[in-house]
Amino acid sequence: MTAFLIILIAALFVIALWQISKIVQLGKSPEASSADGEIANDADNDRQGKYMLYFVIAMYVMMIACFIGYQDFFLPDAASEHGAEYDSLLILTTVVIMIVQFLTQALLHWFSYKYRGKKGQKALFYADNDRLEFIWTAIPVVVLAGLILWGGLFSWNDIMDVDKHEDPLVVEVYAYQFGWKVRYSGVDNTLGDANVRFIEGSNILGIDPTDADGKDDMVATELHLPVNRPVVFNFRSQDVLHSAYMPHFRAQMNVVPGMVTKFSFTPTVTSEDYKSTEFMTEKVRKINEIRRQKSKELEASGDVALDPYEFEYYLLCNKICGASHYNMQMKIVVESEEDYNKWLETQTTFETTLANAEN
Amino acid sequence: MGQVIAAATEHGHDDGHHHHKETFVTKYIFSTDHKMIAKQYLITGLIMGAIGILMSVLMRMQIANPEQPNVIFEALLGKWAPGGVMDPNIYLALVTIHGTIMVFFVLTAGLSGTFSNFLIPLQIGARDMASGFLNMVSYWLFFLSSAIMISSLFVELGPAAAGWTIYPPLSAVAKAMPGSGMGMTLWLVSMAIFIASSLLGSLNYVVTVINMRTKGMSMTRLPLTIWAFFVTAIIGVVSFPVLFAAALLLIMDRSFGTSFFLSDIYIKGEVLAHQGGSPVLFEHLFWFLGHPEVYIVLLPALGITSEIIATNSRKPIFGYRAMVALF
Repeated sequence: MTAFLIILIAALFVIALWQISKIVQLGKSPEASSADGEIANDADNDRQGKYMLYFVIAMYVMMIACFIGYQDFFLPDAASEHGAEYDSLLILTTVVIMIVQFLTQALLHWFSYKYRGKKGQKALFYADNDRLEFIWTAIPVVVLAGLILWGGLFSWNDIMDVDKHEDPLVVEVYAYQFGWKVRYSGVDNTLGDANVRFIEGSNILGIDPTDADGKDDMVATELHLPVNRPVVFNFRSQDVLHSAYMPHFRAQMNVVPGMVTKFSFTPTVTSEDYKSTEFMTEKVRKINEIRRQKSKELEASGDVALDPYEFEYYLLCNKICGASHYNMQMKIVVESEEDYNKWLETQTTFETTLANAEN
Repeated sequence: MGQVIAAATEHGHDDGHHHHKETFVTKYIFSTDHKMIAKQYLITGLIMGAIGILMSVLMRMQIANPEQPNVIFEALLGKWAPGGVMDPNIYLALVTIHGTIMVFFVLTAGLSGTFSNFLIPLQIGARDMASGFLNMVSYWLFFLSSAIMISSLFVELGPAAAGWTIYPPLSAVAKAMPGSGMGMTLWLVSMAIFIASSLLGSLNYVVTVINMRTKGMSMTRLPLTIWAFFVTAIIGVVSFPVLFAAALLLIMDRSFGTSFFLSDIYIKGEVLAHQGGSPVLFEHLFWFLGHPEVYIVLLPALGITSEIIATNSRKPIFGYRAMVALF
């Protein structure tokens, strides 16, 4: 397969060079090029017109085939409260663009075919029509303004307003090259002050040891969230720009060294429920089918077999941050309030961590 | 189209022969003739394009078979693909240099440099550009910056790898990744020279279109292609200096200990002294160019297609004034 692709690339490269070399032809005098058959006649125009038509049809067939063939790769339903609104906005925009794209491309290619060159045919002289131009300028302006205002701006203001929740859970997500940590704010639900200048020994997040708010903070390596409770995230970075990306919750926020960025959402589906949706069970089944076959090959060549795949929510880094950027992730677990509290009790507070370090 | 260009080219050559004798150097290398400079831009742009395409092929080969050994990687990348497996740092470097080459060297300089230089004087009825000398300097600065960008591929720790947007602190702190050492310095120097080249070129296009139109060629009679080049040049003149400023400030942060973009950074076990800057400032400065850049890339193509389709369907442009207003 690789060899075939390389041959294909080489062939395309040669064709490209040959096409570029045709520039030389442009330097020839008009008489010489007409003698070479370089001036188009009716048969040429007819053929090229049909090519235009075949091209647009082939593009649409390919596009629809891709939509059907790759639907396993679409993101599954959102697992957060604002996610549904976000998705409907995306779908609305896509549908509007698709309709316009279908119309304009179909017309462009159809006209190229319909009005292809014929001997003796005269083009209509038609230089201006203010009313027509006004109509096809005004419609996109109105539609775009509508999409941006009602769809975009209002949703944006609502989603980005972190102060709208009553009694949210306050959590800090902390990024470093190349991993994530979470800081829970403890019983007082207030994060202690922090700065990278306090980083020392077991105080890996630079929490201010003199700040009383920070005493009950807990640092964890997995993000556990109780279902249906709003969460306000404070993002902090230790070294370079990162971006906290939680695709299943339709959330992403830049993580910037030297400042705190915020985002909030309410998770609505627990990890267990999400795993058992029809889409996800089917997807996991397909992936494990591929893994089983790959494992057979690996075992035949004496390698270790692959573990079966299991779905989990993940928080990923979405801004180039260095060599291991591709592998910078943290597991997210959404669970019932009881399970969450049980898990939280197993975590160590900052006060205890400091005391242990002194002993 | 081809015939028109051919005729005009011959005419230009005749002019040259009547007035003064040209040597090989003045005709083909340090030429002040807009047609020759356009060809120089075209060839340099195509070579840069070929390098950029090769990089994207390498990237896709890595994505198709992630972390698998490949003889081609071993042959082309040498120490950056130990045992034929591509190093993650060099993957990021390919992303970065591919993006930079394609956006700036091919789509900005390659496109505007070639077509604006070739077509503006021919289509507005001028003998040459307003300043042939500046035009020549513009090309040779472009060549120099291309050469520096390519040479950065061969430095010890590899070329710049912080993405084509080179956001600090990743690009500013040498400890953050290998590519942020010498490679990033060369990237910044190359881009500074590139911006100088682009500004000289754009100023020349603007001045030529305003001052050198032939008798009767009013602004409302300009071909749409020229309108597109004209507006592109104006956008370039307005937005590129901001990137230049960002690059200069980044050079200061990297080499002279200032803190424009850096604050509260703990890296490789120590806290940096930088305090009070913000990486977001760089993002704003960068995208002050980055957003208009999409128009710099798009408009020449729009102008060219408008004119080609109109010419070949033997019709006047429909709604000329509306199109000009859109530009």
